[in-house]
Amino acid sequence: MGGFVNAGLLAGLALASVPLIIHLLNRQRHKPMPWAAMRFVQAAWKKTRRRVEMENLLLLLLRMAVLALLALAVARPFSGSKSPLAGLTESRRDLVLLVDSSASMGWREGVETSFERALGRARDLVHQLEASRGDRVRLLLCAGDPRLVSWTTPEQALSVLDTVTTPADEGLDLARALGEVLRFAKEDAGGAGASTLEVRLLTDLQRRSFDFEVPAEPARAPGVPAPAPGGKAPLDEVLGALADLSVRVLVEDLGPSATEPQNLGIASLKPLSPVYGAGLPCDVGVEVWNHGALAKSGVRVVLEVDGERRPVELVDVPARGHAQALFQVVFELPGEHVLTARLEGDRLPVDDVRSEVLAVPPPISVLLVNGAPGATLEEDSGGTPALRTRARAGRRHEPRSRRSSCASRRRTSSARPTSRTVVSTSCGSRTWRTCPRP
Amino acid sequence: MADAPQANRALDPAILDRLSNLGLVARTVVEGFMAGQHRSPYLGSSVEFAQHREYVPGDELRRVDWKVFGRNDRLVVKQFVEETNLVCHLMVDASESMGYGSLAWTKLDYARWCAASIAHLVLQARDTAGLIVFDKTWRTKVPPGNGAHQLKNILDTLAKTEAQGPTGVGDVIDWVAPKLKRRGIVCLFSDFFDEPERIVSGLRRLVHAGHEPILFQVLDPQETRFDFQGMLKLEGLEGAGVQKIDPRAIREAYLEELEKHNKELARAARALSLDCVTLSTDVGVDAALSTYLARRMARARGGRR
Repeated sequence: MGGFVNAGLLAGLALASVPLIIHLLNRQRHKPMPWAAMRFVQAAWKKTRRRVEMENLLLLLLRMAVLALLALAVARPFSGSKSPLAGLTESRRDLVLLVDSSASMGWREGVETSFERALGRARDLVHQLEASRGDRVRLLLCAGDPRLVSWTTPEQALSVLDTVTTPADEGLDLARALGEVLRFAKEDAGGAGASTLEVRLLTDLQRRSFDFEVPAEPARAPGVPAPAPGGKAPLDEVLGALADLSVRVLVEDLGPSATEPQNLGIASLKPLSPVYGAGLPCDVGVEVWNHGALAKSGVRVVLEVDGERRPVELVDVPARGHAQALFQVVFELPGEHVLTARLEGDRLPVDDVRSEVLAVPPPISVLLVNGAPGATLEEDSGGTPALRTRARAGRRHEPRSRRSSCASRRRTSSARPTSRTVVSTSCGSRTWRTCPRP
Repeated sequence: MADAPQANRALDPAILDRLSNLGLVARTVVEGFMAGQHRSPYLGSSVEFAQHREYVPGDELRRVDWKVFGRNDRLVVKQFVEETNLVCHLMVDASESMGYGSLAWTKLDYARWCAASIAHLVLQARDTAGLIVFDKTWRTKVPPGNGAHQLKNILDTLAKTEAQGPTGVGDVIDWVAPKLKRRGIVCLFSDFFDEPERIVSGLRRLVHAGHEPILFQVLDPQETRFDFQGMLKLEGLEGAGVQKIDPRAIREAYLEELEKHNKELARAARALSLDCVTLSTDVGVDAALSTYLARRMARARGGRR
C-alpha cells in the first residue's frame, strides 16, 4: 500500500499541535487597556467576528498542516504498487540485486573481469534509483552462501559496491540465492509498504549454476520446502514459489563473450619419484587441464620451490584434456618445502595456481649387516646399494598438500625416523661408522 | 506635539504668545452690550451706513435724510450698522471618554488647553466668554462675562474639571440651547462619541436660536490609527463593557466605523454651515488653533468660506 522510509520521524507530527498551543496561550494573554471609542470597536467586532474567527481557524489549521506536512516530508512517504495513490504518483522501486561472486566471475576479458563488469552494472542500476522517492535496494553477493551486504538505501548499496573487489573461490548456489529473494518477497507481502520486487541477477551464466538436477544432498535455502524424493530440484522449487508471488527474475549475462571460454587450470601438483630425500633428485609433475574446446599449445607452466622460480616448462594441452609438465627438483635440505605451480597467460586465474607442501625426510643411516659376506670386497659392495635403497623406500613419506590460495603451510604430522640405524660392513678395509641421530 | 503644556496648567504662555495676533471672529452677527469688532443684529448709531428706510411716524426726525427729501421729495430714514462685542460660550465635554489618552495627556487636557486659549483670546478682545463643563448634563457653569476676573474663573473651573460620567453631547446641547440668552459663538470641545442624530438635533436648535456653534472634535492619535499589537482586552470607559479583541483583525472595520461617524458629523455640520474641526492630541494646540483661526479670519475678511 504505502509507508514511510523514516517511520520514526513521524513523531514529528506532534509538532502540529504547537500552533494550537500557541493559539490557546494567546487567547489567555490579553493586555487590558481602557478605551474610549468602544462603540466603534464593538461595531467593528460584530461586523468582523465571524470572518475573523473563520480566518483564525483556517490560519491555525494551515499552520498545523504545514508542520504536519513537514514532518511527513521528513519521514519520506512512499506509495506501493498496490496503493490507491499508485496511479497518481510514481511508486517507489524495490530492487533486489543478485551479483554472482562465484569463482568463474574472475574471468578476465579485456581490461576487466566479469565480476568487475557485474559490479559496474550494479552501480548503474543503483544510480537509477531515487532515495527521495523511497527506493530501496537489497544487494546480495551470491556464491556458495549468499551474503546480504546492503538492504536499505541506494547510497548504502553504492558504498558497499565500492568495497567489493574480488569474487569468492566457490561456485554459485543459485537456489540458495533465490531462496533469499523468496524470503524477501514473503516478508514484504505482509508489510504495509509492499511494492513489487524487481529482481536482477548479474551472472556469467555458468551451466553448473542452472543445473536443475536434484543433487544427492540438496542444499536448501531457508524457507524453501524440502523436495520430495524424486521431486523437483531446489532451484525449480524456488522459481515456482517466486512465480506464485509474481516475482520475476531478470537475468543479465555479463560473462565471457565466447560460449565456451578457453580456460586452463592446474589439476594436481605432486612428486613423481617413489623415493625422495634431501640431496636426491625428485621429479615433480604438474597436471594441466584444458576445459576449453580448443587445444592449447605452448602453455607456460612455472614451478616455484620455496619461492624460487624454476625454468618455465612448455606443454601442449589437448581440448578438454590434460597434460603434465615435469620438473626435476633437488631438495638440498630436509624439512618442509613449498611447491607452487603456476600457469601464465590464462584468463581465469582462480585455478591457475596450486601449491603443495612436501615434507622431505632427512637422510637415514642404516646399518647393513651382511650375514653372508662375500669372499671379496667387490662381492660385498655390490649388494649394499640395493639394501640401502630398500631401507629408504620403507621410510617414504606421503606429501601433504593444500591449495595455495588458502594454504597454511604448517606441518601437521611428522614422520621423522625414530630408530637409530648403524651401517656396518664386513669389509675389513672399511672402518665402523656411527651416524648420529638428527 | 513638540511642546505640550503641562496637564495641570490651563494656559501656556508660549501658546498664547503664538495666538496673540489672532482672534475669534464672529462669522455671523452677534449680540453684545458694548461697541466692539463684531456686527450687531441691531441698526443704530454708528459710522457704517447700512440702508435707507421709508419714514414711518414715530421715527426720530434727526434720522431723516433731508438730502434725499430735497432731491426726491421722499421722507427716508438713514440706518447704520451697529457693531457690538462677541459672546463666546465655551462648552467642554468632561465625560469619562475624554479621559483617554495614549500620550502623556488626555483628550480632556487637550480640550482644556484649547478652551482656555480661546477664552483668553476672546476676553483679550474685550469680548464676553462663558464656560459650561458637561458630561451627560451640564456639570459646571461660568456665566458669560469679561475682564481678567472672568478669565481667572474660567481657568480655575477648567483646572478643576475631571473626566467622569457618561457622554450626552446631544442632550446637553439640546438643553443648553434655549438657555443662552444672547446670540453668539458656541465652541464645543468633545470627542462626539455620541449618536450623530442627537448631536445634530441639538446643533440645529442652537443654530435656530441664532448661535454659531463650532465643533472641535478632540481625538487621540491611537483612536484614529488603531495600530495596536498583540491581543487586547479593551475596558470601555463610561461603562461600555469589556471586549477581547485582536486589534489587527478588526482594525480595518474599526477605522471604517470611525470614519463613517466622523463623516456623518461633518456632513451634518456642513448642512448647518458650521465649522467642524478635528483636533488630534499629538498636534500642538497653537498649531491646531492658529490654523483654524487664521482660516476663519480670512473668511471673515471676505475670502472663501
